[in-house]
Amino acid sequence: MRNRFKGVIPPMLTAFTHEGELDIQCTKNIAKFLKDKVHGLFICGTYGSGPLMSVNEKRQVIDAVLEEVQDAIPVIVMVGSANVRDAVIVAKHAENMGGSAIASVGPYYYSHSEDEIVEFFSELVQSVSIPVYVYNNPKTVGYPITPRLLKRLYEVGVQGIKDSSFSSIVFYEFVRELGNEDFDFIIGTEALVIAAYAYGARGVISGVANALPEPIVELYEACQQGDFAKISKLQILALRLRDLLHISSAISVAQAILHLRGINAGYPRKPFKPLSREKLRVVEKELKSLGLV
Amino acid sequence: MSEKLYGVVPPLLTIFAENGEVDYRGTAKLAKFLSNHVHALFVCGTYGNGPLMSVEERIRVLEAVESEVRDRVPLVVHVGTTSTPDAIKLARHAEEVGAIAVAAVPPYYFHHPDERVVRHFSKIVENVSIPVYVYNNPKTVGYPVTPALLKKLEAAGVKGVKDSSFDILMLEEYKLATSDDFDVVLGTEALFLPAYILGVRAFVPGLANAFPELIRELFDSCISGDLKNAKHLHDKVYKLRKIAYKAGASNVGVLALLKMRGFGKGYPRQPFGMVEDEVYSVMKAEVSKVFGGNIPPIG
Repeated sequence: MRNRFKGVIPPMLTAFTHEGELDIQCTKNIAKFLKDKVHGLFICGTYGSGPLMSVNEKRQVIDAVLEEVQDAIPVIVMVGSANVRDAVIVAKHAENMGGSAIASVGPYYYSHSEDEIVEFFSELVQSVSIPVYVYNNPKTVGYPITPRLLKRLYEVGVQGIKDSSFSSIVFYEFVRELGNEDFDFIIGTEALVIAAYAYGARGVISGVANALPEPIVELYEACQQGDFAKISKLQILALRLRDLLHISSAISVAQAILHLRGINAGYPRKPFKPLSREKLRVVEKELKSLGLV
Repeated sequence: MSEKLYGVVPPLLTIFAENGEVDYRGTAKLAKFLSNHVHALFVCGTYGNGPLMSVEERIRVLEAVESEVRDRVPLVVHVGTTSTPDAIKLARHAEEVGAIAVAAVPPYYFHHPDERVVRHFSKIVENVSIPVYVYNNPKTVGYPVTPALLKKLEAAGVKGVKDSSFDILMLEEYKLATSDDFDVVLGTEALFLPAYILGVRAFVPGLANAFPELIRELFDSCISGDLKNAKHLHDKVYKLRKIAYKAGASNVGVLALLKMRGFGKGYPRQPFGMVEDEVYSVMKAEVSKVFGGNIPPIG
């Protein structure tokens, strides 16, 4: 196991205007808020509305975020798309602008044969010299990355996996397949930090950390210290915050919490909509009771 | 135009060059061939690789097809995508170039609750004056249009559904959930005959890209009440469908069938790959058998 990226890496939100245009300034506000609190950023992913953006818009987000964080923390760029060409264009741009790594879901909408998926990643790997990760998100993509497919992806040069299967068993099966290789395992949720850390993984891509990075970073540090009482308390808090994020679309709740914290994080893009006032009150009340705002 | 869609409306394949660029001329050429046999065309759908193209490419494909088949067949344009603004942009453009209707899968990649899907379609409906159809394709979208959701969509102004659930009962459930004015269209050749008998009059069959004459004959046999011939043709269509699926992906398979008929050059866009030579030979032998030894060339 390589653990090239260690620590808490939020899948950063992208901000839009009320009318649905990309809002670069508000996107930068989010990056600025996060950059000295977390260990890296994962941009244009599922939380980052990558699949709602055009190639050009993704390029603008890459430029803005890299300009904002400079070299303070590594930035991983999600380039996944339904087609290879768009993914390659974004990957090359990410590398040119100083991105640290590329990640991609398997091509979505259509189901593909393993050969086609391997070819997709092989092209990505050949198009850049920075590491390429596969991002397993069976719910949005429609099909899973199996351990067997992961091995084939490793053989064509993929250097790690971000797993959002939400199953510690699936994550373990990946580790069992490639844990002895020079390969990265990043857990794609705050819900399984304990399990992932126990298997040796050191990277956490946490949606909650978009708006509430502090408790997730604390959880990660407790893991480093091996303080079990603290780990268990903080893992349960992370799960509670995760529940809170899912009382509506997680993107809109994370955005609303940023607003509560005084960060102008813009609006989600349709079909997502901003959090309703009633739900905002629920969020505010819960965060106050936890002493988090 | 008539209120409901009618007849054979193939989901036009988009043709690509070997390097993955859209072959606009090739696509227009296919549209012209089909227009000799079918009632309308369904552009930029799943077969048409709409979800593999940028908004700009989809706009250009529609323009290329429209200028080729203008005054020959009407067009239904698929505008489904992940985001509401893009779907609206595509729908407005479709209306501008004279499409008779637009259709959209519910927004994919992200999964959305009913309320958000209804809002998405309301926005499309607000932006065009031509009918808006919802296209049910749970396999690609990741979630279905349930009959309860369809009822809400009708209330929001959606005029019909194209169903690719491959479930004959779903068509019945859709009819029960909606008014008599609501149009229920079948999105496959596989259930043509039972769907016809149950009252469906518009079909979006992928196989009609390669064998439009055959599917048209099937439709005409149904209309003239010759169910014996219709059954005979349905069996033939089903065999061809099975052969197409040997390619691994239906769009790739149907493209291979077109090639067998002498259509000329054409590639799928990656991540789809061309059918392997070995599989192609097997497919060709089987198609030839279906036609008693001679694959009919494109006339």
